[in-house]
Amino acid sequence: MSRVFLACLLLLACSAFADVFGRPLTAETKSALLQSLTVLTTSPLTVGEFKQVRTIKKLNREFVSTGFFAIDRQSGIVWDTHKPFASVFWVGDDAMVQFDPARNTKKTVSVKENPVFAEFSKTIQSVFSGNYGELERNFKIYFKKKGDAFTVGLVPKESAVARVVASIVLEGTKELDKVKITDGDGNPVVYEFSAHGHFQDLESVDGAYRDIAQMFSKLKAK
Amino acid sequence: MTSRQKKVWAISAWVVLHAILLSIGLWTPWKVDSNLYSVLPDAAEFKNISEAENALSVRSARNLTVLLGHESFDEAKAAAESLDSAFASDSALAETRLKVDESTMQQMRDFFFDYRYVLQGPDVRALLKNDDAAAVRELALQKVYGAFSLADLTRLQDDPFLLGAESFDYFTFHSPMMAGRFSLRDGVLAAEDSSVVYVMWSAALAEGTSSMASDGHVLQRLDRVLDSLQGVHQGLRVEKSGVPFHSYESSKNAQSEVAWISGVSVVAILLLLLWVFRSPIPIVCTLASIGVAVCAALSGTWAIFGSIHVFTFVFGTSVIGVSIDYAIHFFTERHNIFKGLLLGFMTTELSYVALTFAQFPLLRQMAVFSIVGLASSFATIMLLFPNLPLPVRQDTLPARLPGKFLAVYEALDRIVARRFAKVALLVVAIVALVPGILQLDIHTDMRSLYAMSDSLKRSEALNARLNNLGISANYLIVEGASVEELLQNEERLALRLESAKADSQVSGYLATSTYIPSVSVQRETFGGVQKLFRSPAYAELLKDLNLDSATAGGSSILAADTAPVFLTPDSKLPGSFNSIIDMLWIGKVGERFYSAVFPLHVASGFDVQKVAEGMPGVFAVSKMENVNATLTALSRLALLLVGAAYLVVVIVLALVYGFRQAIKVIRAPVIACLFIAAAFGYFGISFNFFAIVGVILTLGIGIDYTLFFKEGGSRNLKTTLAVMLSAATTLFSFGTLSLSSFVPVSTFGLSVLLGILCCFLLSPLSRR
Repeated sequence: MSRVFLACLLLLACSAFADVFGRPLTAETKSALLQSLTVLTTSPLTVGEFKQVRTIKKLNREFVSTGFFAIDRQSGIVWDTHKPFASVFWVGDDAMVQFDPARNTKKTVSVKENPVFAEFSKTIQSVFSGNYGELERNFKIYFKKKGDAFTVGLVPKESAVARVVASIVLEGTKELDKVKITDGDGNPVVYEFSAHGHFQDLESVDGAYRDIAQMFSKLKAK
Repeated sequence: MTSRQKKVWAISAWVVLHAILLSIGLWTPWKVDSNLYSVLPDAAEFKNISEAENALSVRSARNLTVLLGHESFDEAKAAAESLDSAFASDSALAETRLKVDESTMQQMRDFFFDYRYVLQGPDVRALLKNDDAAAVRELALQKVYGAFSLADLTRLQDDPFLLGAESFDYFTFHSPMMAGRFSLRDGVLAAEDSSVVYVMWSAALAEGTSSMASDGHVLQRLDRVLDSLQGVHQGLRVEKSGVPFHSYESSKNAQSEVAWISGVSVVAILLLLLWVFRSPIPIVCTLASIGVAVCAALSGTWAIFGSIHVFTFVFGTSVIGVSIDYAIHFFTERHNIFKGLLLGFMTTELSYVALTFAQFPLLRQMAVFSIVGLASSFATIMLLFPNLPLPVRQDTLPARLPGKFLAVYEALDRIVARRFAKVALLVVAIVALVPGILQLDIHTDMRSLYAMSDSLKRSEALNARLNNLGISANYLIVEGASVEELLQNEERLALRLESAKADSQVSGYLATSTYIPSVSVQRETFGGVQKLFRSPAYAELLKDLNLDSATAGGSSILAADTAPVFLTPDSKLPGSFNSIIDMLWIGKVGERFYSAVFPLHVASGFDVQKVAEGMPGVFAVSKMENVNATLTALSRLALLLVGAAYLVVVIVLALVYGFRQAIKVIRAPVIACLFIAAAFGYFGISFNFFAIVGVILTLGIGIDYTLFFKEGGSRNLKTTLAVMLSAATTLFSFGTLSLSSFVPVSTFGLSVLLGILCCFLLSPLSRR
């Protein structure tokens, strides 16, 4: 019974997401989109909590993880997963780093030496930092706005890329609330963001987000 | 024996001699060798490597790339599509490539999933080797729960450790092939450089398609299509890269050059001979003598060596030069030329015989070619021509010009009457040459001999920048008695290259064993994976991921009868993987197996020879360095041997004329050679293999001039005319070569031009 309920909820959620793909970006809606993207562009450093739900349809399974995130306009994005397993992922302009806090080991890939990773890094950063130019270069953009709430749909222009990432949907109001990335097989990964905090830089972060700020600084320093 | 019997005997001897030589030539399969490796000394290992290297270069020499650039991607792509549709079904091309297969990624995923138990990157292999199952489990959990994971989780039940995804990540994203700036854009590969977007179109010539320029050649048609595309798409940039373009361009230039150079020199020589002899008979006979001598030389060389190297052809022009000289002497003097010709023939042959003592097959081949050719030419003059009814009037031969020429020397004799003054003049002349000779750089660098056109140079630089693969020109060829032995040899070599990488000597390397490890490594990986599935980490992982242990992947690999499916070079590989293996895998050559390993982005101090040192089955291919060093050594050795031969010549001449006169005879050719060396030194031109071939030629031909003057007497106008004609024909034919844009040819031509000119001007000093 609970599975049926969950499926219905998912369907509802999907239909809300799917709705945006009926509304391609037009010259008239472009300014509204740019206005909505300021949610992502104004703050130099945004930190908060995330919940990631990865659904694999074929297995009828969901994998849920939670933790903290930090989006720094200068240094990139840090994803500090706490549960169920600790891992840290940093996407910067120069490198992508996978850090294992339990073993204190890290795997670094130089973005500059590998254009695939460079493209991947640029795309992720453009999605989370609202870089319209990059989004426009790589995706067909769809946009819907109702009151403060906005939904941005992104479909890769590259059909080969679309086989890996079929679509991305960003939802927000005054903050970015949700991002859904659907792979070529239709399996979604939904990121839900909460408890946003805005800071000038990593040094100025305090309170509950000190840990992630320190982690970020540590990764940058290494 | 009557005079008629003597004639019949002489002609019969000539006919039998040439019939034997020519039938050997016709019977032996004709084979021309253009392999640069053939210049290296004989060694069994080099022969094998040479064949393997040849197989590799034949394959890579067929690939070509055209980059179509425009400020607008759409324009560049439209042009590329037009180009592709024009050539997609062209029979002269084996294939064309523009569109990228969209299913590539899935094909790769399937492939790595299928071979996940035997094919893993070094990091995972190290974890398996250290029985660190917990770390492999954590890698899987990071892929499932971590952020922005691209791992395909649909096969999680079959592959709980996500070994397929791990392998895919390593081999796909960490491949040096991914270092290029090209990325997928609208179904094609595109890269941006200085605000221009380039779309890549590539192709491979079909096996039967030659790279040499000809009418209707596919590259000519390609040029036409590209020209028209530039007309349609304003601002379209076209950048071509690949060996076929270089071969086509050089051969096109060479063909037009050969046409005008040979045209001009042949017409000039024919007109000169016609003016002198007033009859076509000497011209026809001279040409016939040359033709027969060249055929005889080819036959003899083919019979002894099985093939003839292209460099031998260059050297073989001496046969033409000497044949003309012999024929001219015959038709100008006819009588009393036997001693001069015989001495000239013997001294020249001695120089070439000396070259046969060298351990270099190429030098021996050049010597044999010249020995046989000259012998044929001498036989024609001695046995055939005097016994044929050749009505050539000698009383109409011009006498004024040789008379004036000799008058200059007679005047000189009067001015410098005293012996002391003559010696002093000679010493001053020689001393003037010394600074030039001291500046001489005896060195052959094949790279400096090929001058790439500016447009091709620019295109190649752009291509290298955008591909950013940094394949080194010096690479390694690995050998093995079996595929397994070869791959194990490669893996040992890879350890050395890894340490070079750690020392920043290379950025990486391309090797087959990276993608297809030896069965030994695959078996070890399989064993490690089996241990992984038997470890407690497996049960924990199933629990973490809430997977059913009964149906999870481990049950199959742990079954007693599970045998690993090993990956081999014959396995079906996904397209993008295949293109790498195609580039590296040579396969079976003779009884052994070969592959190539390419170091990437090598530092200036990186020495490929050192990497191969002491490694069985690994050979460094520093092709250019080897060939350059060998040609330099070859040049020095050839000079030494010819020097030694000249000592013998002095002894022979001393026996005939006495020592002082012998020195007088060799004086002109020796000074001429010093003059060539000094001129090259003064002008800073590298005294390379081709210049030295010119020196040897000068020694061979030049001594004839002095001998003819010596034998002809002090006021023999016919001898003077003969030498003038010989020198003029040589200067016409070789001098025009110095105008060639093909550097080896122009260097050779310049060397002969300077040498023969100097020798000709000095040779009258040896007259009696």
